[in-house]
Amino acid sequence: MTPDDPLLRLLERFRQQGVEYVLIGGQAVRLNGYLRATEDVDVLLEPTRANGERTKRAMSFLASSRDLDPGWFEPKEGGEVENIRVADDLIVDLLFAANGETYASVQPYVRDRHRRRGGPRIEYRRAAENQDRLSGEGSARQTGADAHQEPALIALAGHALQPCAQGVYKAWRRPWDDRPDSAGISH
Amino acid sequence: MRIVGHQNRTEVELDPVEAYRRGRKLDAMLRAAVPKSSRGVQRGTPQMFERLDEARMLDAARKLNRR
Repeated sequence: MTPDDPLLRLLERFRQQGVEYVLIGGQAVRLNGYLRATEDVDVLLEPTRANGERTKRAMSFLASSRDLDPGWFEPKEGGEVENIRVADDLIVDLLFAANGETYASVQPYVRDRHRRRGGPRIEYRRAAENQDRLSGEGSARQTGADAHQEPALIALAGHALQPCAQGVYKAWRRPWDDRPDSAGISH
Repeated sequence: MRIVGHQNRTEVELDPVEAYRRGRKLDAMLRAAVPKSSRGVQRGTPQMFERLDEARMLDAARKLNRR
């Protein structure tokens, strides 16, 4: 990992701009302990124009982001919002629905972690502890990758996901325990 | 099955930093195998993006199988 790592840069900028997001998909799955390759970054976003403006500012280091319209983040009549893909140095999928789940519906399953990297704190918000739920229910069918990782995530539930049982859900709303673990990660 | 060598090949990595580092290596391998996406912004339903992704992966698999 270098300071130039585009994903870490993206997440740091999301934090700086106060983007309301949840990291899901392959990136979140691996941070929960199950490794698989992925070519994109999936984030579930709060569907508001204000969040769209914050997201566009945060992604301004990617040239393609200038084509983003914050108005796209507002639900249409009937509540539907189309997902957005920004393909640049990173492929970022800005999602408003993933397998039937939304930013609001995954909140009970989110936990935060942040990592100190010399100076700025890098923070990522994740929902993968319930990736089995994200892939197993909802209106959309499971993708191949989702279906494959589900048993592994369930198996991990007693290990990497144990902090969930210790009450760190929605931890961004709580005073943070800043004690670093052996990996330099606070949680 | 017999595992040889000293490289860590387990799919489970509970240290998030190490998981991230190893994951990025896997990503680089995947990038080398799939065609590059054209740059720009697209909008669409989840089903539309799934179809696009599946088509790219199928294309990549066919290319790998031809090698």
